[in-house]
Amino acid sequence: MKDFFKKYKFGFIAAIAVFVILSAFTVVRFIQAEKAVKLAIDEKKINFAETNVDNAGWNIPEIQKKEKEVHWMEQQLLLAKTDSLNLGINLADSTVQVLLKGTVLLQANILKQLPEHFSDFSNYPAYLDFTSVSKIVKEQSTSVKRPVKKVRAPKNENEVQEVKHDTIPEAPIIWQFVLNNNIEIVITGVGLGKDSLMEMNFNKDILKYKFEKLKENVIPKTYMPTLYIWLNDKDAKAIYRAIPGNGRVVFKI
Amino acid sequence: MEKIKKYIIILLFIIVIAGLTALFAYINVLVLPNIQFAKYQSGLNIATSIDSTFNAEAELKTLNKKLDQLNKKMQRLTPGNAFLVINTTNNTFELYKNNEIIREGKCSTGSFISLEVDSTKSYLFETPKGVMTVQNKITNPVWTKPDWAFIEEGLPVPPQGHSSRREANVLGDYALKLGDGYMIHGTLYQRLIGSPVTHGCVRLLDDDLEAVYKTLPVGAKVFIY
Repeated sequence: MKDFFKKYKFGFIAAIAVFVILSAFTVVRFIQAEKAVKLAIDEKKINFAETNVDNAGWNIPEIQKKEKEVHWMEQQLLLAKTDSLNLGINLADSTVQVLLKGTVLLQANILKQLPEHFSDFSNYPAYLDFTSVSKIVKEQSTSVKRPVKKVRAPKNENEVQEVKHDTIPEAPIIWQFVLNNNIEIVITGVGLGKDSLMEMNFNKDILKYKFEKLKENVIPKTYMPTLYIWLNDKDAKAIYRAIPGNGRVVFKI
Repeated sequence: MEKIKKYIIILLFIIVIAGLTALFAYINVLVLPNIQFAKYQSGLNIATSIDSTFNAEAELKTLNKKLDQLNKKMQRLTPGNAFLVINTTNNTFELYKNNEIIREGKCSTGSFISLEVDSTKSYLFETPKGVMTVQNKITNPVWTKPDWAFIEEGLPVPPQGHSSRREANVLGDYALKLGDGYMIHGTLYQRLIGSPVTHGCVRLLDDDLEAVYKTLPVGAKVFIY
């Protein structure tokens, strides 16, 4: 046995070294991640204190249900005052909507949502913070809002050329945006495969997103909860193009 | 034999190291974010105190009254008896009557072509998003060609009111004017319906156009997104 250890000393050292380095890295990340979450919670709690929300009825299920209905309608009316198109994310019904002046113009079914219990906020201030009208402050997408094609005007009839339209289908959209209440949303379009069936790769997608997050945040300093939503690609693109850059968003839970 | 044994043991070391890396990657990539979210959620869900003097019955009454008021306000927002919804990304439409879809199908909207005349002048062929109103309804519309229709064809632009600007039988049997020069009308190029090919107007197939024309009164809302 002793000879075996001696013979493969390098192998054992390498395995132990890898284990120690990865353990240390993970421990540091866990400690930092905990600090980042605590900081995010403290920041939210400062806002809760500012809004001075005290609601004794919230603990009674019947009243809580009514309060939610009232709040949802109040938020819809608030959005209806604006002339722009707004985004409604209804986690109670698993739909995403485009709203304008109180009218639902498009309703897309959520194919998958992660985390599944993203909206489990039993506390009244947390509920208000999550479901009050918020604004997109940062966004990025694999698609463009206005696919403008520049064409030079012909100088005479002989120069007129027929404009060719793209026939190659665009890849499914990935639309990421951050709201002013520090919540990140990632909407992924699910397109059709060669067999005309929906190509759903939730696990592959989530692994890719989380790995990208790890690369961006090797040692976590800040924390922002992220909601991942998968929609039919046609609907996802229509919603992305409908909602203006700094569009307003409302949640129903 | 000894050599094979050596290689197997080296391979085992490599598997152990790769396994360790995969395990820690799994913990860091998938487990840690889930733990963070659970902590965040439980951290925010602080218990609220229950006031023993709280009158639940009175609160329910107040809430019901408020709900009624809000419902009335929401009803006032409903866009009337009939309205049209246009999806400019997928080039589809939905015609509503009494809050039900009575017809849906393909349409054509703005091509997003920017016609560059020179460094200072260009025309963008885009269907505006938002809510518009049917301002006027016409049968057998005659198209009054704007400047871009000539520029696009490489033709000289005639003066305003010139006879060459008027062209009949190209907009279908009906047109619904939405203001700012935008219309819902028919087309000679029916095979292109469903593609973004217009100069900003909304084109419909003949049957759909007739249904829309007959359903939407002047003043009806047209929602475009």
